[in-house]
Amino acid sequence: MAITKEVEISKIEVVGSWHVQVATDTVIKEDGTVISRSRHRHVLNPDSDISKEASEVQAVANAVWTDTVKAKFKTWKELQEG
Amino acid sequence: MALSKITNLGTLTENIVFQNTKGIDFSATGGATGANTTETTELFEDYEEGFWTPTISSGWSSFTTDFLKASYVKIGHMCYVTCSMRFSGTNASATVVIDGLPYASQSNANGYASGTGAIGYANMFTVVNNTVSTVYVVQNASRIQMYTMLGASVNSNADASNRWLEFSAAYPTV
Repeated sequence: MAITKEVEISKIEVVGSWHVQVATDTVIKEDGTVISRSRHRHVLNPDSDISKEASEVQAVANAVWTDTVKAKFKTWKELQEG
Repeated sequence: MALSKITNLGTLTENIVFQNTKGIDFSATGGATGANTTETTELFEDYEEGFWTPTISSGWSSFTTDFLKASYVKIGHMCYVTCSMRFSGTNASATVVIDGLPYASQSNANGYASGTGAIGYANMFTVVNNTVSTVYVVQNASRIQMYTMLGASVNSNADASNRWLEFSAAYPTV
C-alpha cells in the first residue's frame, strides 16, 4: 500500500483587469487512487511577489501585467489609499 | 440529449459535471419581485470549497501564527470566508489589513466596500472608543480591513502574541 501526496495547480484564472486567481490542489492517493483532495486559493495582483509561484503562474501573470495594466493598478491603489 | 422530463434518477453513482459557465437554470421559477430589485441571473453555475491563507499587509513588521484555519465556500458568485488564527508573534500596533482572500472581490465605487463581515472574537485589537469593530472587504481586491462601525481604523496591539482573531465575511466575486 503506497500513500502519495501530490500538489498540483488546478486552475489559473484571469479575472477583472489584473487579478490572477490560482487554485492549488493537494491530492492524497493510495495505490494511485485518489482518497483525499483539498483546494487552496490565492489571488495575485501586479504588486504581488510572484518569485515563489510556479512557472506557469509566473508566465500568466507576466503576460497579463503589461505596463498599461500596471499603470491602471497603480492608479486604483492610489485611490484606495488616498 | 435533451431531457424534457425526469421523474426519478435514482441514486447517481457518479458526479454530474457541467461545462464552464453551465449549471442549473432556475429561470422557470419566480424571480425577485421587490420594487427596487434587479435580478442578474437565475443560473447556478459554480460551487467550490477550500482553504485560503491570510497574509501580512503593509504596516505589520511580522506576522506568525501557531494556529490557523481559514476556509471558504463559493456559491454562485458569492464567496463566504472564515478565519480563525492565534498569533505567535507580531510586532504591529498598526491597522489590521489582511490580504490573501481566495477570490478577487467585485468592483464598487472607491471608498465603498465590496462585502462585509463580522468579528467573532478578537483580543488582539486596541479597542477604539468602545465601538464594535467590523470586517470590510475592499472592492476590486483580495483584501480585508477592520474598522469600527463609525469608520475608524482598528489597530492591533503592539504585541499580539498568543492573541486571537476570528472573523467571517461574505462578498461578491468578479
